[in-house]
Amino acid sequence: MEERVIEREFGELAINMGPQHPSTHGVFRLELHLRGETVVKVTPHIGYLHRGVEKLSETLEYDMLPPIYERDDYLSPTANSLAFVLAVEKLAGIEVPRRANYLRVITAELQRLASHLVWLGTFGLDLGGSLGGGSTLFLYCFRERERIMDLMETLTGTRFHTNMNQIGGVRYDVYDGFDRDVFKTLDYLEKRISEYKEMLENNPIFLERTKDVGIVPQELAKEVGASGPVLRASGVAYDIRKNKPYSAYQEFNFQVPVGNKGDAYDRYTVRLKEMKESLSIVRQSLGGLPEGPIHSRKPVKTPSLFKTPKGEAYAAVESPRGELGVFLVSDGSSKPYRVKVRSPSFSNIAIIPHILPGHLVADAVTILGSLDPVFGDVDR
Amino acid sequence: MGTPVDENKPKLGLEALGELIRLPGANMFLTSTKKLFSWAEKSSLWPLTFGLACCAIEMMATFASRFDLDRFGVVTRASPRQSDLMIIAGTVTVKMAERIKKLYDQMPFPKWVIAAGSCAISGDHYRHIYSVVPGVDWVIPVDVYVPGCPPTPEAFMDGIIQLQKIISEGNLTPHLNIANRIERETTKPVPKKLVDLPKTGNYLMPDQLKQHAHNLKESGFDYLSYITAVDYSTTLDLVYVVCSFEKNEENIWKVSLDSSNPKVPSLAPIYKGADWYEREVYDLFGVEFIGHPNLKRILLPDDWEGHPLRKDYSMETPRLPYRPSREEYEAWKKG
Amino acid sequence: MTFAESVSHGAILLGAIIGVVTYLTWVERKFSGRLQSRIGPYLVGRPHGWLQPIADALKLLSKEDITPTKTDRFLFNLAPIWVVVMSLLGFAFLPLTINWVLVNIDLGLLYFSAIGSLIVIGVFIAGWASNNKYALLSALRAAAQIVAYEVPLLLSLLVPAVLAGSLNFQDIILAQEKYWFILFPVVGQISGITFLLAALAEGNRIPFDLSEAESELVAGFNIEYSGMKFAYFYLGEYAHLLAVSILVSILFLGGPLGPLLSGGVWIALKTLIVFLIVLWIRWSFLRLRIDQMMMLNWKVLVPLSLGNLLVAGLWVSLSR
Repeated sequence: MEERVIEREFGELAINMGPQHPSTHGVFRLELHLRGETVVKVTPHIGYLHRGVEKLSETLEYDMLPPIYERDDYLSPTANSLAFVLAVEKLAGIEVPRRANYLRVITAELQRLASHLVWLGTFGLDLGGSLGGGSTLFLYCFRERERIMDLMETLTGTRFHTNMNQIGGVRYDVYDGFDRDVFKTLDYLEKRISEYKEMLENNPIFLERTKDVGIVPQELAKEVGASGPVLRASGVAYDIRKNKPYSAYQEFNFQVPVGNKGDAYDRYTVRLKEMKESLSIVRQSLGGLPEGPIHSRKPVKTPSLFKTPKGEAYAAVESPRGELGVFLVSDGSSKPYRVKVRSPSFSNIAIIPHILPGHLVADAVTILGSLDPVFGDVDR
Repeated sequence: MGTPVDENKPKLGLEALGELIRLPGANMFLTSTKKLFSWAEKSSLWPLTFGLACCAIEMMATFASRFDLDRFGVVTRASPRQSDLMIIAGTVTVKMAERIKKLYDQMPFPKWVIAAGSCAISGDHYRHIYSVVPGVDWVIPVDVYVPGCPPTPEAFMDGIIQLQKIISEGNLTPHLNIANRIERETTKPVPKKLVDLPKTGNYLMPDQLKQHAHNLKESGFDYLSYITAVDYSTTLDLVYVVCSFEKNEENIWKVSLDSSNPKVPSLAPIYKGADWYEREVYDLFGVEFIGHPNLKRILLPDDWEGHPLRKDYSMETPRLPYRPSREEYEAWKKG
Repeated sequence: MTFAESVSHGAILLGAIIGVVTYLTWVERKFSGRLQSRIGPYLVGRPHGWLQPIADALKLLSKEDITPTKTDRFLFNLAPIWVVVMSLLGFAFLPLTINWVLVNIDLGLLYFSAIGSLIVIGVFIAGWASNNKYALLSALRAAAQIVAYEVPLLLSLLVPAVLAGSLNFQDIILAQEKYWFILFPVVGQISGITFLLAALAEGNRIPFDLSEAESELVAGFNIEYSGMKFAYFYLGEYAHLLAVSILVSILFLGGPLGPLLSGGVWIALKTLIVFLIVLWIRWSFLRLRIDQMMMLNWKVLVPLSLGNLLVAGLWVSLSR
């Protein structure tokens, strides 16, 4: 039982933005101490979705694991399984065919688009309320996301936990007419994203609510270990797709947007530009999809026959939230000895106790929304 | 926990009135009033905005424009006092189960529960994990189960339609009184296997740790990527990773500790991010960090015993509260 | 009118208002649905869900009534009744056709705004008596906001009175026979828009609904109310909104005046248009923070409406 939330000083009001909260970011508890409307002290509590994935991985074979990891960061599932699969391939020295790499990039970027659309929609909910203008933005973004879900469903059979990445390649190949469908969807999305950008950037209420709110200084972001748009909005140009490229990203031409002040508006701008870059990456990769097999190692019928050599490996991918890495220690058997998931949202949320004091209550929700946490990723 | 009590019976005072009056037409009046109220209750279900994990995203997609649930009269309300339906979408952990019970108690009667997704029905592939409740019906009574991982929006709509059918037929699940707390028993240790793994990397002694970190931070490695631990049965090795963006390289070092009494100085004064990383290592491995400002558990409840990621921690599920068996339930239903 | 006549007229008016207000919730859900590219209520009552408000009302009747412990029982039960009574009382002074008004007072406008400003007491009592920190926070925000926005509300309300020369609603309507007050060169438009904004703030509507901010305060001051008491708050909010829409159409859009159709139909049409504009604003805008809201009030709306009133007064005195 946790201790009750009580006031410690006269004139303070202690409230609990508890695990059930309409800002649908998931299960998170913020204990706020207020003086009037200003936040004086904040204590985040996490762990309400701790599902013990790291312990579970020690009891399952390697080929069974990628779908389990997809449930961690549930807004961009292929990023998680890609990190794990890359770590195993690094350890076991498996080469992945070029076509499979391109398909991995396509699904990862499509899911990055879907994840940023969910972020934009829930950001609108935070700013505008679920009975009001924010919910209009939320419903528009989900409507666009349904197009991407349709693509994934036609390609793989499910809407988002696609089980696409496997050790040694991918599972599903594109069908005839896939590129036609994708290009149609991308054109539609490009129009809509420009529309939302105009709608929001000319809206004085949006600018007032997000400019100069939740400024994250560069040193703080680096010390805490924040990554992804949070780090880039503070001015550090670090993107794993550029600095430590993996699976075919080195063949594509794209920019990495960087902000300069680190407030909520900068994080919004960075993510919106990333969406545009994702569109261009998918176009480039689909335009030049190479021929060839989609996996170099068919998953064996008995998973217990696949053994990796002893040793350890670390592989990181750029998920929509930041650096998602898997640190794998193997003892030579068919089950991992230790898997550590380096989750980006865990580090991003650790910033909250340092930047929130001094803001108003209404800003707490804006800041949490602009950091874009996913609690399956935080708690694993 | 005593005899089960059905608290979801419709509470119209007209029933008592009907007994008193005993007019020949009173029964017809009462059944049609019951029918009217059942129709009203099923046509205006207001769920609580409450999503736990991935299924919550599919639930949000069901409320969105394409699969609009407002057609059925379903509008989400934020306060439990104003809602009559609770859709549990996602995995239920032990830390969350107490909150769910509290929220359920705060909702006024008549109320219903839909368990959506395999994690809420039975815990899915997490059902043997130490911190997961295998199915939400160990905590609150459930009326409709919607399978899927995650269920498609069409399945969510089907769940709501099934619930409406149940309400209109008057065939309500009796909401038996279920206990309040989830009891946990201490796990019995599992014997550790001795492993023979090559230990590679840059190993330091615990007392060199702070100086080394300080030197690295001065020389430009100011990004703390992660701190983790690996249990090698006789020793517990901590792994520290820091990066430098200007030089675009990373520096990894390790510390080997005795696994019966692991203690090491904390890096929290040097790197701000070490605060939470060290709390996680303490929570899951039991390593004590000397000088940490707030060494408390972070992922598990504060009164948890044991450190799950150690190799001698078994994976038994927590002992769960009393739930009536099928025979007891049938006997109670007969009267 | 005799006493019996006015009582019976009042009862009919009350019934009509409650019926209309219930269906205004249906209008809102359908309108917001179309705005968000979806259909609103559809299946409850086959064509387009016209039985949905009745189902909502019956369901709220059948819910269990919960009163939290350690609250002031009397205040907890008084708050919804207060809000509903004050919202419905204002309708007694509004003329609904050219000749018919339930209570014809010379100071009709003043009475209406006085009663409208009593609603906030009910909101504050609800927040205090709930024994809940969220409700208290929301009640304090509501009190601060409503008291602050009274100033531009009254200042912009006085402009039609100045232009017509009287506070009586009938006189204001008759003074708009040549052209509606909103068509006045600058004075009319500014006072119309300022009044609409201030009335939105008074009614806790977006973009000023900080006291019911769902994403921060989980339903605000009515967080502990279940069942029929919650229905009273809902009813009171929409009734107040309806009264304000009728007021806007009387003061600025000419009320029952217009060619061909009868007065009652014109006023209904104009009220519907104003109501739809209010809904449109609600479902398109984000929410302001409390300090931005206060800055908007004291730095923009108050000087603007004060200057506006001065100009209107000068114009009237110079044109005499």
